[in-house]
Amino acid sequence: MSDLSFLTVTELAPLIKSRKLSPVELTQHTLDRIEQYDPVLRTYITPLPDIALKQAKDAEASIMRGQYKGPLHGIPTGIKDNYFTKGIRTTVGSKLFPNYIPDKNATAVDKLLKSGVVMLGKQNMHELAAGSTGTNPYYGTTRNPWDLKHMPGGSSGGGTAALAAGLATLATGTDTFGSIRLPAAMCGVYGLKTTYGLVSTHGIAPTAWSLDTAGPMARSVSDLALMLQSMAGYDPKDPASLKVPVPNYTHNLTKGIRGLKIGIPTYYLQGLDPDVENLFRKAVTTLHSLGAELKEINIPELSLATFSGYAIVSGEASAFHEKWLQTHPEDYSPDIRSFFLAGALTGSTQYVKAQQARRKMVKALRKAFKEVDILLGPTIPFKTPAFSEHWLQQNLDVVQKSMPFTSPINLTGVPSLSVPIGLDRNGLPTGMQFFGKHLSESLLLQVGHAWEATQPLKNKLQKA
Amino acid sequence: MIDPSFIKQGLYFQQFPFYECDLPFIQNILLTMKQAEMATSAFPHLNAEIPITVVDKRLMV
Repeated sequence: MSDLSFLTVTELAPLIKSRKLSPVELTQHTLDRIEQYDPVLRTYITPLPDIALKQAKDAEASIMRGQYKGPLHGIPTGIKDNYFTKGIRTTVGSKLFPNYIPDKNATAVDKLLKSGVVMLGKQNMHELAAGSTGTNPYYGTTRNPWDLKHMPGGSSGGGTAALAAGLATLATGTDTFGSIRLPAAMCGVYGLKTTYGLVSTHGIAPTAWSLDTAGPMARSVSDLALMLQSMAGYDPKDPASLKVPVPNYTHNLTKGIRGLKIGIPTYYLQGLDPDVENLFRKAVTTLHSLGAELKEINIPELSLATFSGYAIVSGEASAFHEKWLQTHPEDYSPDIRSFFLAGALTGSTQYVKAQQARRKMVKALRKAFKEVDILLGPTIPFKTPAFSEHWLQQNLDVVQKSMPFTSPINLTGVPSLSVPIGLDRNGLPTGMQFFGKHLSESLLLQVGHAWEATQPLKNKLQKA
Repeated sequence: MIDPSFIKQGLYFQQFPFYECDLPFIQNILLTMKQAEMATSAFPHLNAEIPITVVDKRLMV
């Protein structure tokens, strides 16, 4: 059997179902890799080898009894450490909660466990899901497996780095202003920011309520589809949860993109690093060769995103953290504390104005989607940076540079799929994002699957 | 640059702590926000938009 480390669910599930591969063997293999590589990579805050092996043994026993639950059964999965896990500490990557043990699971965790995943551990994240570099002074800084001197991105950088290094087959993420897509791009994996309300955020520590989303991260688009199938769906415990039918996300995966109209907002072509621009232009040519019709499109309202994103994220985060900021200010890194305190200093007038700008942007995207089927742009405009010794300022700089590219999607509530497009001159991955109408996840996955077939990182996935 | 006394007093009135080391970070973030807000001037009818807020319809109806 080929090396298990980098196989996808789509490859592993038939082996598990046909009993050619035991979930115990697969889980032990992954745990061994975590033990070997994670002291350097720091992708997990709390590895859970005992729980993982017990779940794997249970999965094996069920499958031997003929009770196969589906493609996620027995698949080693990392859980971001802002998802509550019953009886298991959930730090949110923060010094505020070093020993917080929830008495319930997040709904998304319950759903994944019901689908039979094996929970490998709680994965590292940028403090309070409010930063974008993956530095963490409390639980160790996650390193990018492609080059340890470089950042993995954040805030879901533990998950994406684990996927890139073969330390998990699947990982959960959250995305408030780019926290799934940015680290997915930096680590060369796939990440789906879902339509606001499609995946329950009940039991996930809030960053900014009106923007927070949860979603899947994986090494393939078909794996994202399988994972989303489990995570999506109405949850009465989440007031923002959408009561909509959940389609079969794998159904249209192989339909291709011939004749699909893809718009590239000119907004997303401004200020690109030459390497990113070069890779993006090549990707556009490839999409054209696959039969898509591409054209540039002007959406001036996207220029409202940076103001709106900052005002809403910092405003809502400062409200949620008010008491802790007053009583335990030393338990925040200065960059995160400053980000939240800036929100406290931003007036309610600006907050409301930002929410008005959101509606303006939603209307603008709706208009654009009458012209094109989906939109496309680089996930981030810059190359994956090396860590700086000035890590506090560096985080704020990365947030500042990425906010214009990532936050329009959160502010408008639409879904966005980040896919790898190649390596920059330093050998680090970068990505582009497809985004579509609300609840267009099936179409995005279809497009992403066609893109993945072009093998943008062929034979390049990191073997840590 | 944003006036440091505005930041200090604003935090004080809300019972938030002030750390001298935070000052350049907060100034930088507020300046970014202020500059980004200038984009709204290109949309003179922005005030015609109803702000998006999270409303739990099951609670409100």
